[in-house]
Amino acid sequence: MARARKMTRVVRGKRPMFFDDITEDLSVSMIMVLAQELSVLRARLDAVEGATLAKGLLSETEIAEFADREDTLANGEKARQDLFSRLFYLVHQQAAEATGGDTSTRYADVIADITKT
Amino acid sequence: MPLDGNNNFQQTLHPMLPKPSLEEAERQSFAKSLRGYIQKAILPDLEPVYQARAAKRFEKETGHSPRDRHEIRKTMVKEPYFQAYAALNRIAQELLWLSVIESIDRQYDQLSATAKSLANKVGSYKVDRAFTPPNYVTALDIHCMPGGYAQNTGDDIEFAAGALYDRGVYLYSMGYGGPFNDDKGRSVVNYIKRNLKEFAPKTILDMGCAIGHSTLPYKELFPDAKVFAIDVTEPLVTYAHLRAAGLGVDITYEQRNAEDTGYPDASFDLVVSHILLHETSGKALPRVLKECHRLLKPGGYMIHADLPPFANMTEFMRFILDNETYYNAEPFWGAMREMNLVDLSAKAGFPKDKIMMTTAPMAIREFAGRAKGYDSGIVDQLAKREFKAGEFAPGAGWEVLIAQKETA
Ligand SMILES: C[S@@+](CC[C@H](N)C(=O)[O-])C[C@H]1O[C@@H](n2cnc3c(N)ncnc32)[C@H](O)[C@@H]1O
Repeated sequence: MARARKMTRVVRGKRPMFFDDITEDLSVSMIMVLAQELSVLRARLDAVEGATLAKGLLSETEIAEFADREDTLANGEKARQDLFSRLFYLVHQQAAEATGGDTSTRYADVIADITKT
Repeated sequence: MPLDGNNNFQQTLHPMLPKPSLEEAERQSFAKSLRGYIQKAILPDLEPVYQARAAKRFEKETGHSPRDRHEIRKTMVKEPYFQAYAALNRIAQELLWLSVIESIDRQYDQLSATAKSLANKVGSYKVDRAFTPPNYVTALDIHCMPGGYAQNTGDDIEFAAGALYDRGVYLYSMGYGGPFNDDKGRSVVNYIKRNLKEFAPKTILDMGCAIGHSTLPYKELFPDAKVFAIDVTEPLVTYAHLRAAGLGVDITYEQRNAEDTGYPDASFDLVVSHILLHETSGKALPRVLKECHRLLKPGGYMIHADLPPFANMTEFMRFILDNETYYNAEPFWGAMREMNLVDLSAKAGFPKDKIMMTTAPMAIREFAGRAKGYDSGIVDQLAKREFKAGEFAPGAGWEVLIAQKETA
């Protein structure tokens, strides 16, 4: 049996918080862990499906070996990068708004403008 | 086939490397790929957002535009896009280490048994439990590695923090350093072979070797040389030895301080370090250079590969790079880049006309086809890409400080 928790998980050096409200930092960290677990689930399923297709019969090692094949690894990397671009859609929206000058003032102006004209 | 900047580079296993289960492997890949994504898709918009919004806001509030990296930081920390970037970057770093710790804990007993069987099989190591690592190494857990370089798990053969570093740093550098993460050492050796053609060192010292990623290429490319490598913590020196023994490479690893190694004068033809200097301190760095001078034989070379200095960089680039100081527990990262290493080397005793800063080209192309994932198309893309501050590793190469000791 593996020994549980030989190594520490705590980092020394006060952790900086980045958002205006600490609960946001906490939430984002939890969301990222959930996203990570989703990715784990996907990897596991990919391996099972791939092995099923390729072999017909399954064993624990067959599945693990299949997951470690170069084409499975490459598909996994693509899937993760695709997941990230969906996950961070709002982050990218922020960049586009900031650089494109799309502000709430402009939005209000449009309302006012449309109402008037 | 190129994957649009994606990579599925895989680290080559060796007996001491913790082998991840399917789930652990995916958690680790997630952290590595997340870093890749942040650098590829989130980092590039930081400067446009800064120009379009944060800089203007600062100007409105103060009547002038941000004058240095500190003023840029002042306004950027209020910028939601930057907050998201910095938070994700930090979380990626945390998930990276945690995903490796989990894997080591699960295999602890097995790794411990492997350690016993490998100790002193090839090469040698010397650690000393009375040795105190310098405060700048232990005050914070550098680059947020939980427990730091000196974490003790109470084993006869302390290997765990070394195993964490080995796997963690491979993921941190996203495999750019090659299947053995030895790119820095390889780049410096290549530089020597190409530019110092007559120079064939017989005794080599690698300072701040950590777990010896960069040390091994010296033995590979100078097989007749006696190679020594030192670091200040027991688990790193121990694991470095076990890793080299597992790979069958003869290196002498010792727990010593680069400021004051205790080796006799003129012991080495070549003294090198790789990303050591930025993890020392304002007082320690000049001492390390002095010690190099003392340790070298007449005509010997000192070469330190580290991060490019702030000089010749835009203020925004400096700001981005300095994030490591504040958010990744790298306390000397920013300050070190403001130091003039050429002047300090002269003060350490090296003749002024024998000191220079230059670039040692990355060895990434050599890894093509050598291990899983190192596809030549992707490797090529990486080698040719334009470097953005905040990305891992410069595109062109490693910044190196080279100095030759006066001949007798
Ligand atoms: C980023 S790691 C170096 C990585 C390694 N050279 C490589 O290329 O893979 C920095 C190392 O420097 C070590 N270090 C810091 N100060 C030192 C000193 N005064 N003497 C020896 N090692 C030191 C740290 O313990 C740490 O292992």
